[in-house]
Amino acid sequence: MATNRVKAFRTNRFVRTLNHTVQYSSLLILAVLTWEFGVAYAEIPAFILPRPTIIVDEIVSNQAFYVENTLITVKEVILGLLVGGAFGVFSAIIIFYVDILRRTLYPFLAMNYVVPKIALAPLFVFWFGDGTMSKVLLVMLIVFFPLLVNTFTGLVEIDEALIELGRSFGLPEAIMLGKIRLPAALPYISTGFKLATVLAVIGAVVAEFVASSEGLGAVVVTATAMAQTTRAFSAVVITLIVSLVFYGVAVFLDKRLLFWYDESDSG
Amino acid sequence: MAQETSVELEGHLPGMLDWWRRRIPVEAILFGVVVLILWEVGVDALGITLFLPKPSNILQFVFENNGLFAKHGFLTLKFTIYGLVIGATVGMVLALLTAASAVIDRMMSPLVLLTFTTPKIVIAPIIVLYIGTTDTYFTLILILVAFFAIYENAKKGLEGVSREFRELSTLYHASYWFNFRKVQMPSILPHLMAGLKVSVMQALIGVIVAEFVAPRQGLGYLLMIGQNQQQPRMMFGSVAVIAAIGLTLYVIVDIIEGQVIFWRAT
Repeated sequence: MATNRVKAFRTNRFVRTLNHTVQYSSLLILAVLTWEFGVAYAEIPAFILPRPTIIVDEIVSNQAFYVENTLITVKEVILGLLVGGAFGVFSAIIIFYVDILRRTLYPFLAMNYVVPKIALAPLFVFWFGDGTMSKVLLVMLIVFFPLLVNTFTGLVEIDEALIELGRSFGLPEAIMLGKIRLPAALPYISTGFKLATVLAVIGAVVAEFVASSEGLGAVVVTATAMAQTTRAFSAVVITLIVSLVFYGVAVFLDKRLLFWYDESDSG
Repeated sequence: MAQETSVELEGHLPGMLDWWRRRIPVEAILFGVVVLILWEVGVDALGITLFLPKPSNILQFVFENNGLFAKHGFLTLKFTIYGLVIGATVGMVLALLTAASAVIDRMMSPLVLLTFTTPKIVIAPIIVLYIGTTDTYFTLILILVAFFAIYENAKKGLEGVSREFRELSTLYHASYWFNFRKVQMPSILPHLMAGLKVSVMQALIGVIVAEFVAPRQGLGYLLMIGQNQQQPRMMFGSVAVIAAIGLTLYVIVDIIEGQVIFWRAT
């Protein structure tokens, strides 16, 4: 009897999950199908609106071209994310410990929030040329801010009981930082990193819009300028996938590193 | 699941400004002044004014060309506001739809996730390809960029309606409209204002990038011109005007927030 009930429950759960999956994906699938068959039915030529299958076909048959440009953009994003992110976390730690910086530099940087960093793209191109360098530096600048602010907030809003505990064990500050403060700030840092991945891809692509001969953003711009619709759509699709992968990696790291973190018990 | 985190993600950004609103940050302003003076003196000493112009020169340039900056600044501001208003409406309607039905919510969620985690702006050149660099183009980009924060926050507000209120309104057979005005709206509004603060900056960035892609008008256009003509003063001037617009819009939303949410005396 008991096993039957368990089985029934399992089936129900399976059905429910299946049902939910269908509901989750239905609109997306419907949209893609409508796009595919609608375009085919109306006999719209590919240079006006390419079908999904034509886009896939284009990517597969010109894969060397797309891989090359994707790698350029991905390289800019990864370099900018890692260096800019490390810089942000490191600066936050220094600002946290040095009181004078905490009162001067930090609010000054916080005020700079109103300057949209992406608007600096033409300046960066002017300074550092239209190669990879200007993009990496812009992505670094964009990534720096959310990580600085989130790390700093995490360090400040730590549970005092943890600090007390460390003090009562007589831990030196270096160990306190490594074993207590930074782990406690990790949920904040991770939140900042997730946002940073999204912003980093936007930064790299927009900088490529402004001036570049290579990278996904450049492919989109040149293709639309020459009315190569299929190529533009393909580059856009790849960009969307790239940013989803980056965000997915950030979410995965978050789940992996923060398995111990329960959002409900630390408001 | 994943969408919920996004609210926190974006919620941190305006926090940066709120941090200094609590009291006047004298030290930060002094620090800013010191940075400006160092910039002014240092650039001259190093002899790199062609590369990095002096703040006084940038200011002078903006005043000399005030007509140009006013004209393009106004166009950027106009589209930012258009986008915010329409984007907020779209976001609200979507939030109400998804709150009304769990099925619609699930159907919408992958699309919503997609619009959050991907650089929406990348489709800007494609939109130009279809409709050209028209006003519709700028408005479309802005709706796309601005609706998300409003949608997320309105949804959060709708989920925050307490069960007692919901049951009470069901019990009295309150009409949808009455329920919306008296039960849902008071819960949504605080979140909506928070969302609007995020949207303001996003919309502004959206207009600038849209202007990069289709350099026809606005401060993004001035930036591109400055880049083409190798004129750092024009680029810095545009960035300064953009920052001023961002700050002004943010403060306006902040003031409206204080007026609208009177019952939340904090």
